Amino acid sequence: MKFIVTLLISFFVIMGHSAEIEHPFAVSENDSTNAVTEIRHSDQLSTTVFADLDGYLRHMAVGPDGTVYVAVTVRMGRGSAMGIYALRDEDNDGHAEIQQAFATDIPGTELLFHDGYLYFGSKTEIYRFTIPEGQYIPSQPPEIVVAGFPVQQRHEAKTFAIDGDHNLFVNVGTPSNTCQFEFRTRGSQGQIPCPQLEYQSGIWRFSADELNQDHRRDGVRVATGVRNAMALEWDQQTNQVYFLNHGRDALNMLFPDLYTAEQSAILPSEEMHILTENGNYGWPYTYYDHLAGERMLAPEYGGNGSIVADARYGYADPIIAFPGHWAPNDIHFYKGSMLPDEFHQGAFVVFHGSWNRAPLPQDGYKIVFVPFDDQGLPNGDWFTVLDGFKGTDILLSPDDARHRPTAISEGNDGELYVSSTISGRVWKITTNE
Amino acid sequence: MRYYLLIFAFVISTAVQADADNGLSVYQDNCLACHMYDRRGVSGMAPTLLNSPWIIGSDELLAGYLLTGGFGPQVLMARFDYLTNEDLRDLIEYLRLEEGLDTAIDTEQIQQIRIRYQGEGLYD
Repeated sequence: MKFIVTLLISFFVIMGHSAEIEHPFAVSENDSTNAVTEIRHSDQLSTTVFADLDGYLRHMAVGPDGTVYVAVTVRMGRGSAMGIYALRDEDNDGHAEIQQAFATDIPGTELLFHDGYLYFGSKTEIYRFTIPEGQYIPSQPPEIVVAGFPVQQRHEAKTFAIDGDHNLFVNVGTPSNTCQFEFRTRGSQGQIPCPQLEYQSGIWRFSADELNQDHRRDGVRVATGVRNAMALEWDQQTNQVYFLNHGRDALNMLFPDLYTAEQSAILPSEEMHILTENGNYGWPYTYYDHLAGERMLAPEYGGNGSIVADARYGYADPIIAFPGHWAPNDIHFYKGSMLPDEFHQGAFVVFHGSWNRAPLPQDGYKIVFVPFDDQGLPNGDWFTVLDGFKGTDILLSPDDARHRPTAISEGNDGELYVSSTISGRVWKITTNE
Repeated sequence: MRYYLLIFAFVISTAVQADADNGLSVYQDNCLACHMYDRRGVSGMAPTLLNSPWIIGSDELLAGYLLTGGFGPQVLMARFDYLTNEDLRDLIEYLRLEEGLDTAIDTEQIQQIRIRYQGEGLYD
């Protein structure tokens, strides 16, 4: 009896946090890899290679005239180009025959159209471009919306979201793994308080309409304890900002007595949250364990894998949790009519894929859809819409991946675009009519 | 008597001989998470150890790098001074054999380097 209860509880916990389900638009075992596009999807969908670009790609935005803008960056020794590519498919064959770069002196992360401007995040600024009527490339340098973000080598991408009240929310990632006194060093304790929480490791609010704001002078920290929210988007329907956080690395490497390599490969969870004013999302003092269904004290701060975080600090629990190290890099709420109506209730999440699961095979490298309930919360299910990016069934080293998906954007006809960092590819996804 | 001396000499020589098998196991427990199973590293995150100038370079720099976490300005590595001199010797033996080099470091030499760099981050 006790066994059955335990079984039911663990089933409930796993279901409650995240479970992969079947769906007509889900990739099934029978779907083979598209020989041209090199990704897998259901036969409800059709994919083309929209562009093969030079560079390490980031997020995208689609303009009112259908031009697809893709940010491109150079970071940590990777990438060969910076700025923005403007892609146009004028003969509508699924391939952008016009590929024009601009702002090539700025490393690019996020792109978003708002109030007719093209907003653009670099590593240290948020800019906006004016695209002249009838053209698709700006003729003037960008205006600065916010400057003064700290210079950092890691988690430096300034992803952002803009809500219906013109609030601009900017992710300022943390420069370390877990705020240890010594970077990724076995036995090194965590700093209390972690100084990286002061101007980093959180989400700051600005006005989307004011120019020349400064991070420290004008920014309001609305969320803290966020390690790196690459995936950040306002959902018009619920009027909430949703984000996913990249969980910490190296539980086993740093604390081999407390975590096995197997535990370290699946923990901690990758968490989805709703952004709330003054929310504390737990980094670096805690991490979320979706197997236990609890927020745990981090081992750098006295945790041992089973000590639950002190509830008095009011850390937010995720609204859905995914296995560790999948690296959620983008979230998108679908608004178009190409896909069935049920896609209006939920979000696409792009998982760039892991590097920190070794010695176990790497995982993630896919795009899933997370259905929501009527309250704007995930119902616990998700299904994979696109995979095959890694190019092999068992991937041991991330350098062997063929593609690593990083962003998803929606076109004006409801079609989707997906970008890959390492391979520079952009795909166009449509329904199979 | 001569027989006992021979055994003694044999025991001494095995005691100081670097053990690449143990080096591999030290690698798997301490290095593989970042530098991967094939020592190739991860582009932009953890440098490759294949043809690494540190591994085929001087004993001092290699042992010093491992004990302190490195000499920048590349991405900072963790400090591995918690490894014993024996484990460090075996790890270096393993890494160098994989590069086709059989140039072991003895534990006494590692101890000297350890003392020299104690408490110092070479990175700064």
